[in-house]
Parts: sequence; structure tokens; C-alpha cells
Amino acid sequence: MSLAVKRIRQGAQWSGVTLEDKPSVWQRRVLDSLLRLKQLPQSWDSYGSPQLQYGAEAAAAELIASLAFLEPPLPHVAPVPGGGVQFEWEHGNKSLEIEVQPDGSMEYLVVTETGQAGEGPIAQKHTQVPLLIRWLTASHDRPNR
Amino acid sequence: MTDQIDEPIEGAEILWRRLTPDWIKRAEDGSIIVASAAFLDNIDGNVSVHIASLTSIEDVLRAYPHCHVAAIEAQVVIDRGFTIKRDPLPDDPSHALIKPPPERRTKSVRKQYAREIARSAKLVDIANR
Repeated sequence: MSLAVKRIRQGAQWSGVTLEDKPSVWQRRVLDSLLRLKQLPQSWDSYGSPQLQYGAEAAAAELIASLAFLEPPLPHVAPVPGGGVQFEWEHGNKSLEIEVQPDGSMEYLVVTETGQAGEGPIAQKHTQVPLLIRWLTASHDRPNR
Repeated sequence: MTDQIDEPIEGAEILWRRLTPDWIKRAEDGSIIVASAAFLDNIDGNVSVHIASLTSIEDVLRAYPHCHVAAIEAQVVIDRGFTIKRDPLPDDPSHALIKPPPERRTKSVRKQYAREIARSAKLVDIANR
């Protein structure tokens, strides 16, 4: 099932993200988490962080849409000081983190079953992200990057 | 004479960090763990903490009753090349900053270290709630 994310702009800011078509339970739950983070006030972390930034929100919404057909495990969606957001998965003994930075750029961290860690930028999100998710949910270890 | 603010922080010192509820998650085995995001920063890379021996959990949470507190050993961050700089605030003499060394700002291990620090963190106030 495909998910279309409709962006409603008011000036330079999003006023919201709504779903077109029928979103899956996974999509709704993850997008709900993102929208909840959008409501966090200034200094939500108690140390002066700005709110979730437009670039991060837009890229994160697109990420959720792009993962629709893969239906990965539910991630923990956490705000990152500075205005970003991070999706964290723990699956078996493997971990995957995808951080969406305030400008919308992304970085990943994988930790394999043997504890080896690797991280880097996600330059080609349409190809790299599905590979990372397939690695997370598959039985083998190291992702092809 | 060393200025008090430049006094080094020993590895045995305990550092507390306030956690918002969004930084606490449940592992697959049901245990409660700290999200790596709690130790990332996209502003200047510095992470605020409180030197435990200079304050109390009650003081750290006084203005933020919705938050929790995680404890980490200073040695965990020192071992990864970070420095801990005292940064007292008018209302909080215990405030300090975990600062990444310049060469680590390349980000090549930025996320890995944030995760390792988060995994070493122990929630210290949950039992009292």
C-alpha cells in the first residue's frame, strides 16, 4: 500500500501533515509520533533546544511514506536536540538508527549482532534506507551499503 | 593556582542528565533503556549534564518535574575522547558540558559514541516515582 503525504504549507512553515489514501497501522502510529514531537515547545529538552525544524519534519514524513511497503518494526521516535528527529530500532540483537537532521539530511548507525558498529550519511535515501531496513529484519548480519 | 572552573573532573564522578519522556524506551526484553538521541546534539555538539556531587536529583528536577534523570560515569565519556567542562549557571553551579574534541567532530563515530553513552546510562529516579 502506498502512502501519500500531503504537505500543507502556510508561508514557509508546515501547518500539518495529513495522510491521503488509507494509511496502514504502522504508518499512522509512526506519523502520530512525529506529529506529537512537532508539538513540543521551545526548550523541550529542558536545555534550550529549538523545536523540531521544518527540514527535519518534512524529510521524516517522507521517510515514513517511503517505508510504507516494507512495514518495518515500529521504531522509537525521539527528538534530537537542535531540531532533528531520530528513528531507533532494536530488532533481535541488531540495532538501526536513522537520524534526520534539522536541514533534512540523514545519517544512520547500525550495530550488528556481534556488536560491530558502522555509521555514515544517507546520500541516496531511496536506495539506502530500504537496504538498511531489509538488513534489520533479515537473518544475515552486515548491510550492503 | 587553578581556577575552580578549570578543575578537572575525575573519571569516578557521576554525571546526571535530565531526560524527557521521549528519550526513555523499552527494549525487546522489557527493560527500560535510554534512547541514543539523548546524547546527540545538532547545535554545537555539547551535551549538558550536572555534576552529581554538587547537586541533588530534587534540584535537577525542581523546574522540570516531567523529566527523569540518568546517571553516567564521567569515565565513560572521557574514554571516548570527550572532555567535561564545568559550566556553572547562576541557578545551577553543578552544570557542566560534555564537549567532543575537534577531531571527533568529523561525525565518523558521533552516533556510535552517543549510543554507547546512552547504553551505559542508568535511570536513577524511576524507582522513586
